Amino acid sequence: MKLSKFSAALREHFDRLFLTPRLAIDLGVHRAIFFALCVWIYSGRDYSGWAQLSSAFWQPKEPWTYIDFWRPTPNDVIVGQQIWVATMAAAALGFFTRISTVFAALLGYLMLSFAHSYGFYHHRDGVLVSVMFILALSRSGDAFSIDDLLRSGWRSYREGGGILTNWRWATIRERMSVEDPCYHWPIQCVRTVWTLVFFSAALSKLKASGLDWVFTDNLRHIFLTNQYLYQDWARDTFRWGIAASLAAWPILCKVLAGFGLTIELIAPLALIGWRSRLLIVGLVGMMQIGIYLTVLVNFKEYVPVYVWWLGWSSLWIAGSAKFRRS
Amino acid sequence: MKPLLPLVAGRRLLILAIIAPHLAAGVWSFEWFPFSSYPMYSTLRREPVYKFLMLKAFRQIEVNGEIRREEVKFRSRQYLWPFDEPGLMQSFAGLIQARRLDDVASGLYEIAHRYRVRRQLYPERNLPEIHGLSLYRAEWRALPGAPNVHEPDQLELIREVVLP
Repeated sequence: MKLSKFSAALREHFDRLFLTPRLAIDLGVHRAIFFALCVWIYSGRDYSGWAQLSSAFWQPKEPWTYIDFWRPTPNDVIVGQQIWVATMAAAALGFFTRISTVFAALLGYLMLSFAHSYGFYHHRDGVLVSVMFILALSRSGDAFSIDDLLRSGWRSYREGGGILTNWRWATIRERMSVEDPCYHWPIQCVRTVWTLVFFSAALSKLKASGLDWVFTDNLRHIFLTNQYLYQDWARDTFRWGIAASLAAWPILCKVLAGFGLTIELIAPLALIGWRSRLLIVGLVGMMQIGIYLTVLVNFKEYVPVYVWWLGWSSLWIAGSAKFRRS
Repeated sequence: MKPLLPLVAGRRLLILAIIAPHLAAGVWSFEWFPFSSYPMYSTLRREPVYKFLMLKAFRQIEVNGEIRREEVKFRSRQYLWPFDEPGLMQSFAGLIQARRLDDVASGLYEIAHRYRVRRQLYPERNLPEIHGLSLYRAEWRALPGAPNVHEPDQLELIREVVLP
């Protein structure tokens, strides 16, 4: 009896978190901004260099561990990358959205895992691939898309008896009234994945080092030793001053370590309300800027994911109310 | 046709299928792209000692009829693409861990050869000539500002290649 009550309460919480109705425009704007930022990040990169390397460096990541019958040539990679960027641009515009998002996710998965199959692996791309798959599984093209424009045109054509009357972009105001849980769960899934990135990082630290990660000089030593990551003569172009200065303050380093670990651990709380969201997402953002300034890890790939914490329709409503008042 | 699952139950399952692998990767520490436990900087650094690999390029010069080695200062972006320096070291570290030392030697040779080709293709860049590459296991006592970055306390040769 108690168990069934518990499971019912759990289901209720789960549904409240993921399956309450939400406006289609929110997911549409998120899709458009996310893919536009991905185009900005990935269109400037050239992955064909990886295909030029010999098999000496080959240390495959999934799914390439299973694809042992084919290795792309540099030309294959160039063409694949161009198609990938084109599908991401189409997905940003909401053009054939169901198809373009699926291809963007699949090609992104193949392209990025291939680039990581030569022993040089950074984890930042994984989040973006996950978000692409979430969008591929969702109805993100229902609003704020060319598909929506074409659909409204087709509807107008049929209603007008073969004549295009009153064909126009469905106004934002109209779109404001279309709401369904299917526009909410993808947004919440992306946010959950984002929080799990940091929660997992905290678990890894606790499992590998325990609380010694905070209460020893660990972070101070990270600041000091990380200066040796770049040993060649190009290192003079980097700024190491902040990490070296912080290392002179061992207690401050412990405070920063405690702050970082705590923020990572409580990241999932960002899902429960707008106040905690504002606080935790802001603090995680500050932490990542701090990491960039001290250990030179660039989190540019996280920018398209941060955008998912904004509620576009709420901002629109708040903005227009302020405009009316003024 | 009756759907296999009610809509809400189907959506719940889909959401769980998306989230569960991300959570599982964190809890059970597995890596399966794009799922990860994000283990960067998780191991404890008890001492300010840095242990990593170090790559050195050299050229051979003849002095009074004797062949001598001279270290060449080079900049990674000009010879390691698509790697950067830590990326190449990470790749070599993976090969060493997998006991693929022949591949380490082949990889070093490949990098040296690619550098030589690039040097010939772009003479206007005035890239210094190299005759070979050495990969070391290095250890530094970490100091603020890293004044000893080019002079590690310990160096152990792993592999070396000389271009013909």
